[in-house]
Amino acid sequence: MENDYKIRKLIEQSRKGDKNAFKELVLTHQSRLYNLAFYFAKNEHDASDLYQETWVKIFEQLNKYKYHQNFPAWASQILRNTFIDKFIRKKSKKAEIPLDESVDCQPSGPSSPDISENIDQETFVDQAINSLPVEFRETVVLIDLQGYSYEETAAITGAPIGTVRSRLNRARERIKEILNKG
Amino acid sequence: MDQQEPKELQDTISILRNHKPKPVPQCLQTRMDAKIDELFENSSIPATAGIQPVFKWQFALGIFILGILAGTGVFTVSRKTPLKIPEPVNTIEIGREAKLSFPFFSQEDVKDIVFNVNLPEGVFLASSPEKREVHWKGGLVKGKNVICIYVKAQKEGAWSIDAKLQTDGTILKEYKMPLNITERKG
Repeated sequence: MENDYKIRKLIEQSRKGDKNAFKELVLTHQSRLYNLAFYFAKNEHDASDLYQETWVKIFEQLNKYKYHQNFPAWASQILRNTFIDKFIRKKSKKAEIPLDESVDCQPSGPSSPDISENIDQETFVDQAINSLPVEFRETVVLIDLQGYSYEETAAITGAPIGTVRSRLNRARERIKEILNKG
Repeated sequence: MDQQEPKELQDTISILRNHKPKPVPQCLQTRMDAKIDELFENSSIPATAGIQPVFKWQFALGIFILGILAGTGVFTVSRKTPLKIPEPVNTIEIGREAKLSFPFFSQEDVKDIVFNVNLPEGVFLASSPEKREVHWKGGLVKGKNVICIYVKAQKEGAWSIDAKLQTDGTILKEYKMPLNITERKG
């Protein structure tokens, strides 16, 4: 309840032109939205683009948001629609920079050995999730990783609740198969 | 955990629910800050959320009256050009603001980037007129990056803006952006 009130205040202030209120709104929801973007896009680079484009859309559509709506779910729906529009339909075109503009940057170094095992396990789970078709992937991410209810997930994905349940079950079964093989 | 979930899937569900979220890259946070600044800079203050239903009839009446007045020619439409978002330019009239864009392409995500810009006498930073040097610290993302600064022209002439992109003391790229400041027309 208190969180809803805080979000409402931030949105009200953002609508009035308070840039810092909008930045705080972004900060409050950045982890959830970035992670959702990651599982849609399947890599950090595209996830960053998708994440940024989503927030631009949220900014543009802020006046359409109704206070009775669940803001994280509303934002997640925008992210999903942005993914479909920009990445699946491949409408976005990046401007090409000539080769002489490229900057040679040092690649990041290897992980330290003592945490490599944990990274491997997390990476393995990520790979299992990313191997799923998008409709299964989005369902299992929204419900099991992000804690949305069936109803919220149905609203975000535009699918009936029965379909959400079915997809979730199939996604979990597939992930279980993959994890057991590994 | 939901009691209706099949027992054979409960281990998998537990793994998924305890799966650590990915940290948001620092360079993305920096990029978002810059993007938000740009969004608010380029937009007018957003309109109010919506019309409360209780005022609907007053709103409809107001529109009706305005329509009648407009039909009588009471209102004349101004031909003023709308407020333009400054586009990247190499020629600026004295007193005008402009956006200078420095694009670069990175092959990898890079942290701890420092971007230094030295402004010549012909321009000053729109947000801080007393500053002659701009220092930006942040990260680059793989792919296209653009750093923008807003300047205001103050002295006529052919100037050059020097900028350097560095990390750990190593210069990655140097810019020399020519800039013409001209007299104000009209």
